[in-house]
Amino acid sequence: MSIPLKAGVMIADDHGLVRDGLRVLIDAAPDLEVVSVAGDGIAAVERALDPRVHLAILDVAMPRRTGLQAARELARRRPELRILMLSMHDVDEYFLEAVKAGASGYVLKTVADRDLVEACRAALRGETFIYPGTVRALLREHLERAADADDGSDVLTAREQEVVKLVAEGHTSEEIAQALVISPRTVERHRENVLAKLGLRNRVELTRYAIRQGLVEP
Amino acid sequence: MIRIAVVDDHHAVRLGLEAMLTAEPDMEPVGAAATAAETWPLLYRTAPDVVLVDYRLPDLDGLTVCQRIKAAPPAPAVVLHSAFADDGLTVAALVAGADGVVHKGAPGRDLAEAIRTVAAGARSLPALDPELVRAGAEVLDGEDLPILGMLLHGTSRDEIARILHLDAPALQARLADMLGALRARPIEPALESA
Repeated sequence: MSIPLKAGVMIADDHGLVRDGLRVLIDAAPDLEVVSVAGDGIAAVERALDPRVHLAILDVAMPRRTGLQAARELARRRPELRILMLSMHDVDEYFLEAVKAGASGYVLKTVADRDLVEACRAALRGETFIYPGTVRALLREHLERAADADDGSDVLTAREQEVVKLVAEGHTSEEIAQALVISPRTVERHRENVLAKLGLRNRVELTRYAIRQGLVEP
Repeated sequence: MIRIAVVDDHHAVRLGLEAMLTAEPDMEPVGAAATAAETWPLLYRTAPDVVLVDYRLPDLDGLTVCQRIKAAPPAPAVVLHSAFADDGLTVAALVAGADGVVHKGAPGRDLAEAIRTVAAGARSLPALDPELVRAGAEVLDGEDLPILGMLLHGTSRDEIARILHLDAPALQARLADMLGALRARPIEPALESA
């Protein structure tokens, strides 16, 4: 699917106020516009099959079909559609479930104003949207596994490994930039390369990894 | 792979750049915009490492576009692409936060090298004639001269803000004022005496 510079978004949430609020946020962005809304999971699937929709935002809890059920059905019937879930809770396991169902990640309703547009853009770039806490957890998990494996076949460069360690310890990009004497932009670049190399940007790889590690049920 | 976005209002130039960038083994053109307004959707969609910005755009000038791109970290590297062999541009480009300035008439090799340089985090600016720097300093407010000095020296914005005890928006505002002053009285290289 070739996504135009102004992408079409569908919002599905059973609360009218939430839909209206998200619509205002999304329409304010120059590169996004809301083309349809839905109030339940079945309508959500119908509306998201429309080719004018490039990204579907699905509330986790909806009548008639849950957000996860709708995501699974949409991922099956229209694989090129980008999907984001809307959730009340910040739970690492939930993130992996959402990704397994076909979403690029989830956005917390409590901070939707800050994160929603960024998450939409990440999803439209084909990236996963992961909260810092979950990134840390996934990287810590990687470090533990890498320590046990000891097969010396780490795909990360020495610098990237340094960045992984610092991110896993909970440091901000600014702190890492100062510690390694590089620019914040270089830190971001290393972070992105690490996420890509470890398969955390790629939904399919991430899901396979999570299943192998027992983080989600197959 | 260095990912590069192009902002230029001439279709032929966009096509030419795409072909040139595709031919380089370590570069990938990721999209193009024809106006300043289209720049941000392009950046959000492609998240490039480097943006090539035409100095003259129909809706907003390239210096302002550059300044706005750099105001929102983490920003890609910005190379100003100028059709004018205008040395006076370099000082303004520095203040606008450009990482590089390349003349459109220069061989493709120069542009490719500039892109590699800025993608690695360094600057690629034409050598600054001391006369031009002096002329630039003359149009600026005295309080802003230390900022110009630090920019010439290659000090990062974060460092400059720290040294002057300014927060990011305050430094941004000072740089915008400096750019305004430089634009209001464009710098001409001093004429040779007869």
